[in-house]
Amino acid sequence: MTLWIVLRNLRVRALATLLTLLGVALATATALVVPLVLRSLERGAADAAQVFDLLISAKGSPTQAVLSSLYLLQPPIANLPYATYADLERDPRARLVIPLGFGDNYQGFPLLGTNTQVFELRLKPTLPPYFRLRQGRPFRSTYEAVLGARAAQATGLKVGDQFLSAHGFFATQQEAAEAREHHQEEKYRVVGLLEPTGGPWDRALLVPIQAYWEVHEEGAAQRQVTAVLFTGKRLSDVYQVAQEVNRGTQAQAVFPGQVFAQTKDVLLQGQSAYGALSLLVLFLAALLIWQGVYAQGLERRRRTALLRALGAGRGVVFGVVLLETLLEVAIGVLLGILLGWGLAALGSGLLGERLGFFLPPPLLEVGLIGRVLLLLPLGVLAALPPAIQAARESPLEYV
Amino acid sequence: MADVRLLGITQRYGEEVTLRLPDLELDWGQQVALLGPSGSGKTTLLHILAGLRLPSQGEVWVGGQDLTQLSEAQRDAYRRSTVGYLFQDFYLAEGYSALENVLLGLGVAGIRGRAAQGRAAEVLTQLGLGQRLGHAPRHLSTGERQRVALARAVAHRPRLLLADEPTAHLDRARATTALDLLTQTAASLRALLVVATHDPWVMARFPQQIELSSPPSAPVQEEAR
Repeated sequence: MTLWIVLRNLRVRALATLLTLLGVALATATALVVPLVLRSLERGAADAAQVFDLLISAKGSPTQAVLSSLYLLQPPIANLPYATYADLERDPRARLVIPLGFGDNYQGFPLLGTNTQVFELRLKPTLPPYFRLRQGRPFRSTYEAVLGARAAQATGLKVGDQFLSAHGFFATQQEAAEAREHHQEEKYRVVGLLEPTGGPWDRALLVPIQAYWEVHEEGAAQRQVTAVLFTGKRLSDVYQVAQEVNRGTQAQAVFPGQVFAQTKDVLLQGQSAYGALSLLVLFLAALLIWQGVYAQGLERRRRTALLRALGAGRGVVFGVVLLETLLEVAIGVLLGILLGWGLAALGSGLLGERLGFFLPPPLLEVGLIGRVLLLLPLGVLAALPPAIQAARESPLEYV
Repeated sequence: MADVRLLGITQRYGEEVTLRLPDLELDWGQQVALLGPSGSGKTTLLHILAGLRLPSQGEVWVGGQDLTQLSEAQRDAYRRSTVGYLFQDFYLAEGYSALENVLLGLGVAGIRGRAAQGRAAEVLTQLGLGQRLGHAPRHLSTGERQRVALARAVAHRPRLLLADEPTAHLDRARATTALDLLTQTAASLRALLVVATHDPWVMARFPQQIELSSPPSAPVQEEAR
C-alpha cells in the first residue's frame, strides 16, 4: 500500500519528480562518464603494457621505447643488431622471444614485422592468448599478414585481399597520406584478422620479420630489429636478462608495466581533478533533492494528514515520505548510471577512433558505483526530517 | 447499554477556553443531527468520536471500548475499521482520480487488490459517478466531489459515519440530494450517522437532534420527530 501511495504521490507532482530525476540522473552520469572512459583507456593501455614482460630496444629513453614499440605513438629510437635478437633467442632462459621491426605502413597503419610467437602472448597463464584470431590463421610464409581489428576495419582489407606497403612510420593517417609511396613489388596477402584487444596493436598489420628484412633488402649480415620482446621461463630469468642487457652498451631492457605505471599518473593527472569536480556535481544533486523535499512543504503535510485522518499509523506516513524521496533518488541514480555508461561507451568509441584502437567497453567498478550511490543516504538524510515531522504531526493541524 | 456513549466530556483549549459537551447515548443505525453555532464544539465532538482527538476529561465508549483508554495505534486501527468521515471541505487527494481516492481509503482500511477495485467502482457507480471514475477532483463539480468523499467515507462499510457540514457548499436542491444519499447509505450500512450542521433546515430533516450552544454547553436536547 505504501508503494501504491508513493507512486501516486510522485505522479501527482510529476513535473517536480521529473526535474529531480533529471538532476540526479545528469549528476550521476557526469560523475561517471569521464572516469569510465579514462579507466577504459587505462585498462587497454595497462593490458598492452603488461602483456609484454620485457622490452629490449636501442639505448635511450625507456618511455620513448615503450611509446614507440608498444603504443606505436612515436618513431623508434634506433635499431638493434640482429645478433642481439639471435643471442636472446638462443638463451636457455627464454620462453618467448619476439622480434619487432617497424618502418613501413599501409594507409598510415604500421606494419609490424614479428614472428608467430606473438600469438602465444598472454596477460596471465590462465587467460586465453592476448592476440586472438577472429578469422583466418597466423602467417606462415613471408608475404602473409594478420591485421589488427582497427586496421582491418579502417582499411577494409579482408582475408584473401592483397596490399602493397609503403615506407615510413607515421603516427597519424594524415602524415601517411602526405608521404605515401610504393615500397615493394611483392604484395602482402591477408591471412588472418585479430579480435580487438583494446590496445594500440589494434592498429598494426602483423607480418613476418623476414618480410621486413626482404623489403628493406637486408641480407643476413645487415639484418636488424627495432626491438625484442622477451618472456622468461621464470620471473627471475626476466630480471637476470634485463640486468645483463642493461650492462651492455647497445641495448636497454625496460619493463613496460613499470614504465606504464610511472607515466600513467602524468598522462591521467586530470583524473583526480575531475574526481573532485564530480563530487561537487553530486553535492549539487543532493542540494536539488533537499530543495525538492522542502518545496513540497504544505502539500505533503496535507497528504500525510489525510492518511492519518483515514486511520494510517505514524509508521505508514513516515514510510511514505521517506520512500518517496528514496525512490526518486534511486530511479535517478539508476538512470544516471545507464546514461553515464552509454555516454562512456560512446566516448570510448570516439576516443578509440582518434587513437586508432578499440577501447574495451566501460566497466562499472564497485568504487565508481559506490561514489554515486552516496546520493541514496543523502536523499534519506534529506527526507528524514520531513518524514519524522509527518509522523509526529497531528492530522488535525490540516484537516 | 447504548453502542456509543459520551460521558462527562470536557475539552480545554489552552488555559482559559473550556468546552463542555453533553453526555450522549446513541445506537448503531441511528441518524442524528448535531446543531450549533461556530465554536459550540460540533467538529470537536466529531473528532472525539472519530478518535482523532482525546478529550481533556470524560469517557468515549464505542462498541464496548473506551477510546480514551486506547493507545494511539489502537485509535488509528479503530478509525480504519469503524469510522467513515465526510470532511467539510471533502479533503480529497488532489491528483488522484475519483476511483483512486476511494481506493486510498480502502487501502488504509486494509482492503486491497481486486476486491478493493470492485468495491470502489461499485460504490462510486451507486453514487452516480460510474462515468467519472478516472476524473481527478479538479475536473469534478462540487456535488461530484462531495459524492467522491462520501464514497471514500463509506466504501469500507463503517459502523460510525460522521459528516461535518455536508451541505455547506451546496444549494438546496443539491443539499437535498446529498442528504438523501448520506441517510440512505448510512441506513444500508446500519451505521450510526452523526451530521454536524449550523443549518436548521438540515437539522429539520433528521429525526433525532442534538443542539449545542456556545460554552458553557447546554444540556442535551433529544427529541423524536
